Amino acid sequence: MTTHDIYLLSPEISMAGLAILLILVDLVVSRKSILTIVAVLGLAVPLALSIVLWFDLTDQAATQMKADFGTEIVTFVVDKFSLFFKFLLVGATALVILASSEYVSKFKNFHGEFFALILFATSGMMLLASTVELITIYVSLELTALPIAALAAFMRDSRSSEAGLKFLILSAISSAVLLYGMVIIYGFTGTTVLADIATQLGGLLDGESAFGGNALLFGVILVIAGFGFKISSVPFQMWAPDVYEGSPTPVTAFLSVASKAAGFAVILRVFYIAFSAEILSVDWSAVFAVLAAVSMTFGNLVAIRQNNIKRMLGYSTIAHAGYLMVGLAAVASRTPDADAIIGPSGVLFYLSGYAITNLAAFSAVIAISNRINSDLIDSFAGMARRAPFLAGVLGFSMISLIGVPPTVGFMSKIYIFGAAVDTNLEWLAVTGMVNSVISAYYYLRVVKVMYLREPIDDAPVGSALPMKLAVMVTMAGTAFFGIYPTPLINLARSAVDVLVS
Amino acid sequence: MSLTDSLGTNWAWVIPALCASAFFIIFPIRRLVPRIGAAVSILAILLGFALFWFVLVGLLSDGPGAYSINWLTVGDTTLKWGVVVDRLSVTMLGLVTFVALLVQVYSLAYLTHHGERDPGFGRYFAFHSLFAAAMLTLVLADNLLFLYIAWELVGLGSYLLIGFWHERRSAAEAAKKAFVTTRIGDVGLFIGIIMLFKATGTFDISTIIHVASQPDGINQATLNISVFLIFLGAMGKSAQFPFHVWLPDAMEGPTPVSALIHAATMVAAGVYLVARLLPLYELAPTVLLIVASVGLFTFIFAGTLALVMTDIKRVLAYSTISHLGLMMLALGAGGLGAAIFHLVAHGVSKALLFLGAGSVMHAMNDETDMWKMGGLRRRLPITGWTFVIGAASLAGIIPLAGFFSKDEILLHVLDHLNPVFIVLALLGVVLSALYMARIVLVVFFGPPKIENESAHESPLVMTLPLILLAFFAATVGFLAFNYTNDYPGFGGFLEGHGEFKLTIWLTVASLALAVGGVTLGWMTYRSGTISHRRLAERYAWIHKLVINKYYLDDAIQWTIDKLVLTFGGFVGVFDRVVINDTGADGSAYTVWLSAMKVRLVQTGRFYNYGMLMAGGVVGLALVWWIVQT
Amino acid sequence: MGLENFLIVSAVLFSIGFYGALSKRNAITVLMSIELMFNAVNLTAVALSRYVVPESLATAGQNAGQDAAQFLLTGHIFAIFIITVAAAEIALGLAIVIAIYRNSESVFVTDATQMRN
Repeated sequence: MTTHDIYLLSPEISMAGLAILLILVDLVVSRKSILTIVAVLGLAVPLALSIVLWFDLTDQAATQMKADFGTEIVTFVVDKFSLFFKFLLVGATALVILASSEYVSKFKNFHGEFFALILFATSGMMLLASTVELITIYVSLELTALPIAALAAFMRDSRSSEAGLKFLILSAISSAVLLYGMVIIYGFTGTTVLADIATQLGGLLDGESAFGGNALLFGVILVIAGFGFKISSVPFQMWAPDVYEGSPTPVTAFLSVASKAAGFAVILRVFYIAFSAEILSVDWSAVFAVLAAVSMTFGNLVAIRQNNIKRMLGYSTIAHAGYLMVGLAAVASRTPDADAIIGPSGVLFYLSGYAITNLAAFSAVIAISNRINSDLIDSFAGMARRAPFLAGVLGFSMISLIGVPPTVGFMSKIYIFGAAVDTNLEWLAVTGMVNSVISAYYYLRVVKVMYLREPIDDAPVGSALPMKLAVMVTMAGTAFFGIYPTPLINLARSAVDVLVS
Repeated sequence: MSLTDSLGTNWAWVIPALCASAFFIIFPIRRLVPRIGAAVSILAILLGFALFWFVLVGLLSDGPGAYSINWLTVGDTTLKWGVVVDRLSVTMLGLVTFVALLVQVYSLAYLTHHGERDPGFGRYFAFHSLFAAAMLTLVLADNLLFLYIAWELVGLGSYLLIGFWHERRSAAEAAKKAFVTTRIGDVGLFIGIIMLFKATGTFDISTIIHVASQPDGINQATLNISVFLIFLGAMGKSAQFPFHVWLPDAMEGPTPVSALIHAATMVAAGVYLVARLLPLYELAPTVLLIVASVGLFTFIFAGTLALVMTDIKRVLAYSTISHLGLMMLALGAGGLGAAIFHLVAHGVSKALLFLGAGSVMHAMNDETDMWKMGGLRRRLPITGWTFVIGAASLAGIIPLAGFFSKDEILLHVLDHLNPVFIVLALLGVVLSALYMARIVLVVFFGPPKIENESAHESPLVMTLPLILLAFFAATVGFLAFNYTNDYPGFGGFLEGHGEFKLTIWLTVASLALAVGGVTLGWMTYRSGTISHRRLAERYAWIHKLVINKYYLDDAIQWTIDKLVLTFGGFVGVFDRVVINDTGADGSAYTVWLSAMKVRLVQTGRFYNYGMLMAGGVVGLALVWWIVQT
Repeated sequence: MGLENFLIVSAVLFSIGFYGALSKRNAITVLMSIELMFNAVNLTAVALSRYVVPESLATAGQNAGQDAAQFLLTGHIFAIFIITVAAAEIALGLAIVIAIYRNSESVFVTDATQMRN
């Protein structure tokens, strides 16, 4: 392990260091609001280090900087793809922490640990975006999942513990399934390095059966199942609504945004590097197309009948996993003249748009539900009068989640459905459109309840400054990228270059 | 002079920008200083209307122009935001700014009851500015994507304004109905736009038309499907059968809103869209025939409904639907100029009628039942006589605007379509005259009713727009003639070619039919020679059918209720029952399940979640194998 | 002893673990069953590491100029990592089970069904 390796790992190291620092600070300070400030300001360090890496990368005109930690096996790389996700994750984490500043007062103690667990999970996700080797992927995945399970159970009341237990057990089962798949792939190729898997598979493919045999095919299916759990794709989505409902709301926001982003990062990495052969990608993209269609339809239809807004957003996140998988399905090898990076760049663009929008929605939900002590959609009645700004932001983010202009949700839907059309998946694009229409029903219901119903109580609902900040930043992002998304798209496109070269 | 010299078509984009800035200024201050909000909004649209004249002069002297900026680069595709300034868009520009200006001025008084402003005063003008910005953008957009964005924003503005009095449940429901119904069409529009983009690689309208007009430019089937899908969007916005159901309900909004959005501008957007893409439709004659048929059917269908409604605004709403159908018919006959001419004539006249109806309602404490009115011309003289002018114009009485434009449409129908169309269109003319006669005679003539004793004329702020609109409703028609050699009549001017012509027998026939319709109306509703009550009793089943809007609303509502909600509920139940409780209740079928049952009577969740994952793995494997073989 | 034997044993073990994780009421037993699944994976990893890899290395790995020994041990290393992480997983699981027990005096997963539909 050389200094250069440490330099490459520095964002993750500083993130974990910040987490430990927070626990220590928690021991010595009595005003707990200082923790929020330390956490948010401290996040500038991993962000700055990631930016330094980005410019270093550009200076060297290199696509990738590799770390092998003294062995011959490269397990960790820094490239624009991983840095894109690091920016996204650090940003999302900062917003989640801002949004939870008020919420944490519900806990009697352990404020520092709450933030520290979030940061540990984030460092796991950042690793996940950078790893190119199966063992490391697994360890990073668990570094992500375990803190989240602890966070889900953090309230320690019966609902929260139940959410934690469900998440932990189902996550463990899915990990076992994923591991089984990974081990089978390892057995067939003799290596756990993604790039080498691709080389080895090249020799096995005979062009007749997928992956040169049904056993390997089964391994890949197990891997899809394992990852499908992380991104809450049907039929591995059952945990999502329960855990979303039971967890503390900031954790729900974190789960729906950061955890999902990391899941897609690793899926893109694995499938675009290890299974990049054309004959393979046509096969797995078909599977993702089916999963995409099923996920969005299931999520949207079930969300219609929900009364708890967190649970509703839980189903909505399943639907959005479906839209995102449209980008996975849109591989270039389906058509001869397609833009090679349209699918993966669509995933990245959609993810960032979804992250901004969903964080706006969750910030507003946290701000409101924390004051009125209820997660039920009905209790948001007349919120337009009690909290006009928060209701406006929540309404706007609902519009963005439907995909109506001028929001980033619209832009990202255009881009990702365009990718589907470009790769001869018109049916999937149409399914997506129809689903957007269905989704309007339950998203607009929230708007309707807030704007058209009589308030239960006339007391105004206020919010603290950090909440306002989080809400404003996300709202501005939703609107800005809805009108001028080019910078974000360019960033996403430059990030995924490394996957297809 | 130097400023006016540089003011030309290149300033067109400023008009929507003005309204958009007005929205952003008003919205934050809407509660604090609503009056300043109203002033800003009116000022913006007034400036816009003034700029329109400079743009018009620039257009006439320098010819059409197009201006754009790069907005988005995706791969090798560059999307632009641009405006196109040609005769079509400038005509619409004039209509929209003019009517919007008058409606906003009118609203100043309409939203003030007995010296007390409506609590949503500022919000109302903010939404008006938003709507105006979106509508003007839609009219000027040079590419389909930009147009679609404006199109959706127009829908949003309409949603917000219909639901303006959102405390009323019916208004909120109507707003949702309008939004959802038009969005169904919008899905078609969007897919159509994407298909055209895929076929041509661009959203730019003129390029698409250029590519399509090349031999082998676009595959004929693709072209047919895409323009049909786009027409679906136009049907939604322009309330063509069977998407018309939202428009009558939209009358829940404030009446000036109905005048602006649901008579003169937004509903005309569908007609404008088809007109803008008419060269594409002409390459797809099948679809053009569909356009004509849908238009004709809507023309007559909505005419019959307008004949039986008793709510004054609903009569006008069905009349609007009917006339939009007539415009579609004109486009189906390839009569771009005629359609837009009628759009303008109808826009002015119908805005007048709605504002008149608003004036009546204002005087009668928001009463909308026609039968409770009567003899109002004595109490509301200005409203009454301007209303008569608007109604006569739409009934097609010479020499008012509606007569000339309708005549041009009929000419095109005669020239370009099957004779069946002209016969049915003339029937529609009779209907049109009949219901206009009905509304005028019932509301303004006859003995005054007790209910309207206290009614009095509206203030000048409201009557002035009426008088101005009445002036234009009376005179716009004269634009139809070819006064100079450069100006081949309005239709020719718009299309840039063609000449003025007249077919005397058709003109006489249509006029005779219109007058006949009015006379029939007189006999029925004024002199009582024909008893409409007895007719309704005699043909009770027809009356019942029509008065219930052919049960179409009910059918659509039923479909939504039963199908969508049941399906959603079904999936919810599926999730609950099948996924969660199978182990508990449905497991007696197999030994395996019953063995599980012992332990799993109450487990429910873990077993089910995990089982579903396992099932998912097996399912994926199966899917893959099936795909393989 | 062929590779097949190991694979069959581990597949059976995995299935038993999976069955247990889904069918047991007691949360502790569920955690134990999950541990069984992990161990099945470990067995597979180690077996594959021993049997399969050298052959494929003989063709591709050597040509690539890589150190064969590292590949030989990959499966073992995999297993060690799995054991470590699984231990952490179980520790957290037990902590949550205790939290649940404090709330409801029950460690039956069947009682943890407050959130549904």
